[in-house]
Amino acid sequence: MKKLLVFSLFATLFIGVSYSQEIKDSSQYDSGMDQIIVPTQILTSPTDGDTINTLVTAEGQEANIAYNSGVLLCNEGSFSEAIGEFSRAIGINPELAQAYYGRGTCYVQQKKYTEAIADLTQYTSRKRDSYATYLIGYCYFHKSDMENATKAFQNAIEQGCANADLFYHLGVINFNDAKYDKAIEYYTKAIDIDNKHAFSYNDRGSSYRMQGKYDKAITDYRRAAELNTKMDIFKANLGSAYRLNKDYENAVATYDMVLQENPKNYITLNNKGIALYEMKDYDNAIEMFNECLTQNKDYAYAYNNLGLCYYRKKEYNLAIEAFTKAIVLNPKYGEAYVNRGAAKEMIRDAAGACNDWNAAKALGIDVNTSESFCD
Amino acid sequence: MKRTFINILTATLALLLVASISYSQINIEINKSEFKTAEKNGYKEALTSIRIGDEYFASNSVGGYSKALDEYLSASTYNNNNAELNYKIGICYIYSTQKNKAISYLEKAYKLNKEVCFDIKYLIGRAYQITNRFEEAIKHYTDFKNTDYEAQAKKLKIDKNKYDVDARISECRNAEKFNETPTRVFIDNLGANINSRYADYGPVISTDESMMIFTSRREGSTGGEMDYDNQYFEDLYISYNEGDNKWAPAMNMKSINTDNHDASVGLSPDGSILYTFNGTPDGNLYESKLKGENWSKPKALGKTINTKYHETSISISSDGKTLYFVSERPKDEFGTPSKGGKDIFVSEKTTKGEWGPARNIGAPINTEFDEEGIFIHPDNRTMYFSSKREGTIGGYDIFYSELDDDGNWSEPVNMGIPINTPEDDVFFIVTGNGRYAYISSDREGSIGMQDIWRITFLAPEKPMLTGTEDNLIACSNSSIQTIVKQEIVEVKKVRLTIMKGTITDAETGDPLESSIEIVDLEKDEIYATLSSNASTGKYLISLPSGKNYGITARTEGYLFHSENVNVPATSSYQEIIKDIKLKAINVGATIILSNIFFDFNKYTLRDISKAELDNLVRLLTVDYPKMVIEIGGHTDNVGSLESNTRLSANRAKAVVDYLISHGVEKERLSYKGYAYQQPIDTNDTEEGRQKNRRVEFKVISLK
Repeated sequence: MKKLLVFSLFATLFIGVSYSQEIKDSSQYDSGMDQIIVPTQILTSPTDGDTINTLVTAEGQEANIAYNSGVLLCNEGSFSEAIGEFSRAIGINPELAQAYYGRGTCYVQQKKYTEAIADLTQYTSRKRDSYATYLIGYCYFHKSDMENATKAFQNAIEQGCANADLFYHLGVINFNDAKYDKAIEYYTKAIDIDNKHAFSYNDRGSSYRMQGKYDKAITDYRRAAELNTKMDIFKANLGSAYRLNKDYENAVATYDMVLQENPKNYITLNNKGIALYEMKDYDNAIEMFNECLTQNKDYAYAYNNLGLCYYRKKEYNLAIEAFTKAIVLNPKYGEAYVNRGAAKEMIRDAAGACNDWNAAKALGIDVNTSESFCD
Repeated sequence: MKRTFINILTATLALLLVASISYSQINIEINKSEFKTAEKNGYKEALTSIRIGDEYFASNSVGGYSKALDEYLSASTYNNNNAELNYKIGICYIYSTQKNKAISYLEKAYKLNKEVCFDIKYLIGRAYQITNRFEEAIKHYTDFKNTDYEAQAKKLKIDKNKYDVDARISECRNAEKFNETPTRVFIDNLGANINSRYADYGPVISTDESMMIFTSRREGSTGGEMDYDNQYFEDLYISYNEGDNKWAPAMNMKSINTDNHDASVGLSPDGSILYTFNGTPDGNLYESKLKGENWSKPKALGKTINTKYHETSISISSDGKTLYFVSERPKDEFGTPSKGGKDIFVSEKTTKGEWGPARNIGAPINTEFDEEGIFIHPDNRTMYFSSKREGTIGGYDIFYSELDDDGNWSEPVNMGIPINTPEDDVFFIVTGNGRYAYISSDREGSIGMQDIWRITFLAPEKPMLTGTEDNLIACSNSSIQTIVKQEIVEVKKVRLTIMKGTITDAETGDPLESSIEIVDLEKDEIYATLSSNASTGKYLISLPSGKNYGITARTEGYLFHSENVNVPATSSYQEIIKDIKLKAINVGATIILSNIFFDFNKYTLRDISKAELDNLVRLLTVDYPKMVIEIGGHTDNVGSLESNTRLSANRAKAVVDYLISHGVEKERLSYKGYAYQQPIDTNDTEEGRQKNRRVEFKVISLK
């Protein structure tokens, strides 16, 4: 009952996080996650609402007024001003728990996660609130402090939080640790709570992809793309899952849908080029990589892939030229050394090939040089 | 009737017979009205060219087609819109080095007259097949299959089975499959020092790739005459590797070439025995041995090898104990019937040094189809041969099979494209190190007809790595790179050690002809015996891995020389150079007995010392029954002088005791322990110390 009351105090607000260069604006988030609940209830009297720590004094009234002002400003998106008002409320009444919460959520909006954690901790020390505990985890997550994030998320779960975003974030943490089975488990819980949680579908698809279960990945990516038609990364991932599943025609068609929305999306141009390369359509792949390089002239991957097309066309000198450009852009690009070595081998430059393969080995790439008589 | 080796191999090609029979039925008819009016004598000249061309054409031979082509092309300058003429030109091009030109002439013949000959579609298919355009070949073969060619063939009294169109289609499909994963090789023409504008084929090389002998039908052959196929008689040519894959200009082996056909069909790994085929009617194999600088007159191999049936190619194992050869005999000497056509047989050398009864090597090597061009690699575990079995891409394809530890040959593996072509691929010789091979074939880039090519095997292609990234996590803007690797193909590794060197007089440096005995010390068994060349002193032997060998070189008037070569089982290919200097037998001469072994820190002779000790017994009882010697024991400097003196003396005494027990008079023998006082190398390294631990003998007197 208490939990419901706490939640009723707050409205939700999107956090404007730029997730990728493919995301154009926060309005794309019509389904998904990272909706932060901000305070909405206005305290009209010292006894209103869940005000166990409010003061029944003139100062208390003043604090409530400041707090209410903060709430209004927060809901208008004027976070700095809201923080000022919440701070004023706390200054008058340091025990006004809601003010800590309000200021904490404003800090979250401003991505000032350290300050947010401090305020949310103040709040949760006064009020048991599983959602606020989740928010603390959320802040740690964005500070890349996954250990504390995990602890906070686990606390929130113990406190009864059944928030899809919470499980989603746990999924992400496990995904980044390459614990794909565990990640899938969390993403699935998130989906069980919210079967329109597009982010969870996408990320669960990515987990399947990392496990080589491309059919399952395709199903999840497709669902994510259906739930959120504006998120082109879902479609892009779907295209890549098709590609990895060797269904190149569907891959190209899906990449084309992404490019229709954003023709300058160089990552997708590169990926479409790879699909064409796998289809042995080297001429069109070359065209695609060149277009990709028009959009991002410093994209080493595209030069490397361009080199592969020339290699397959037996145009070894052009291949070497392209691989070299990739290496110049990224001198630690071991794979490009491997590829350039192969091209050099084909023009009978055995010494050059061995040099490149040895360079790749030095960069940590597993290349067998002994069977090529390099040793 | 003279026969060429290559004809025996190829004259039965279905296509050749089909074509020769079918198109011989066609007369080229040219109307005067078809000729350009500006050419006054065009009609007459064209007719003359066609008549001469037809005569060459009728020989049904590569040489004949080549000459016919010149005539037909001359005729076509007057009229290039004659279907029959285009048809014949197309056929001639099929057998030329410009095979791709066959397509346009045959297509044109068909366009001019769809009924120019009932087999036109088959030939168009063939032209596409031999130019590696398999999809189009299948289309034309299928068209042909749907005609009434069987009735047409019957009408013209041609065996319809000559048109094995299903087999051709199957070959094209096989080729398409092989094309998906071509074998990674470089194939290089050996150039004008080896190849000529005539047919050059049948290369045989020494294991170390230093010498090549091959067959050529070039101008200037012994006798200077042409055979019925309008090509010069086969002669043997020899060339030497000058390094960096540069072969010296080939020289005619005049000392053994005859007016008849002389073809190379095998060479011992050390290059000292050449096997030839000289075109006798019953197709026999001959051997010629290199003595100094001279090759002996080829001598027919015995009756266990040669029969009244054709024997066509041969290969000898590196230990010289086993012969593999191809024969058409219907059954082997154990009564086992052949699988069909030409099969591969094996013969072991008997204790008398003769070749034992031939045994059909059986399945999975032999099939109901022809097998040819046998080559056993010096590792004695890998066999390369040609076969027309199912699964080829046309004609003979090269296959390999490996011998397992139980003595079974593995299922043969097709060497794939581009090693194999839609035409005959025969004679595939692999160098000792397994990195290179030599082949003769008529492929794009030939100088003329068949040429000899060097194949360089490449390691599996390195995994080609695409660079790609995706935003896999919806809430993160960091993309994740994905690397896609292609599958890796295992590369075959050769387990072989080649030991080679020169044997010379220690004083004068003159090359010596020496008999070399290789003993498997663990088994106390002679692995092989060979000789160094009298004029160069060179020798070469292949040693399988996983054994400890004792090597002894002997020449009359010289003290024998022994070496120990231990080849670990894990060794891949390696070459060991061992130049041996033999010391003339004089008083005071000393020899290290390299293959005498003792237990650690003891003076008990180990069993593997027996071969070396018996060498010594033979020297003292047979060769020099009055020689007086001293056996000297030597150690490294580990331990005290006293203990080493005692150990070395005891070891020397153990040798003396062995000699006495085997019939050498006690009075002729003395021994001494020198401890570490006469080192021959440093005692600072293990290698040096090992050399210092030795047993020597010294000649005290010869009387």
